[in-house]
Amino acid sequence: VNERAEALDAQLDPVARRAVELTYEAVPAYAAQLDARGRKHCEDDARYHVRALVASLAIGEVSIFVDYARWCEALLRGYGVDAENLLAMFRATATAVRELAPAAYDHAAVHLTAAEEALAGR
Amino acid sequence: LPGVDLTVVAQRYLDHALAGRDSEAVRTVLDPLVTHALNLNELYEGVLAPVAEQVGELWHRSEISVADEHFVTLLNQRVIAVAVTLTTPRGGHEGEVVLACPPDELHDTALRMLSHLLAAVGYKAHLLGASTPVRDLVAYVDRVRPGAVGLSVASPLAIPGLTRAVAALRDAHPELRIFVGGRCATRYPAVADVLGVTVCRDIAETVGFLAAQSSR
Repeated sequence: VNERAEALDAQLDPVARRAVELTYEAVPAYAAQLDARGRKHCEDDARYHVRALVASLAIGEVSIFVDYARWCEALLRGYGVDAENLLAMFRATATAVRELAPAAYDHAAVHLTAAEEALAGR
Repeated sequence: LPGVDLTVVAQRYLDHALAGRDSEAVRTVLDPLVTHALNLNELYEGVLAPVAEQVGELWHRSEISVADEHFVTLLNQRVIAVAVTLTTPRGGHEGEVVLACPPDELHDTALRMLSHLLAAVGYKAHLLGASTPVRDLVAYVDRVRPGAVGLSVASPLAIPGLTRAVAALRDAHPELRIFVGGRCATRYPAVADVLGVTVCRDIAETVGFLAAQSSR
């Protein structure tokens, strides 16, 4: 649909993996509390986040990712995952996109920031 | 409808289903269908569709498990399969339509209901179901040459697959009319705008879209 979404889609797995690495670096306490199963869930979740971001970019509709973020936060809360960890993941995803899919970065950052603000209640 | 409160029927059906009382749940909705206290549109749009939505919300709030959600979804699909055998097509319309979910979209219950509703008014509906690969969708359309294709997208994660499906269909059949439905298509008008397709929110809009097409 557009080059931004295609650029990110082409780097979906590397971006998701990098976002997880950066999240663990940013929140070592979160990383420390995860066992192998938890880390697998975290990697799967990161991939879902990037897929939702690709969808949001493909249509150019920020609310798609914002709604996804809200939905995700409520779902993860049910599993005892703190919203701060999700926010850290979104910030890490922005960095990963900048590093690995720079053509998508400007727009992706807008969508990710809107989601962060929504989760933070701003 | 005198005597039948669809909200009550839906809640009773869901209560039975979540308690594992599948026979009671099925009788709750199929008995009134057989006696014509409930028609097909009411069963699908007034009972099963709201139940499916409610089950999704209950899972999202961790109030029911994935297994519970699957049980109710499969029960919905069993009800649809039986309802197909209990209704006689009224006719009135003609034409063929292909119905599919794009790649990564696993929620096909709405398409199953739509397929039956369209068949009930005379259309030949080719139901391809969940997560249909783009190449196979195009090949199927090549073969049956329908008047329209309907794509259902409930999850935002399926939007990239939807965009690929629409682009491939457009490349292969530039004149083909495409409509979309499902939660994502109705919630975000930009999806249809960007893709250049028509949103159909319910059976009435779908029949209207198809009828307008056949009169062109």
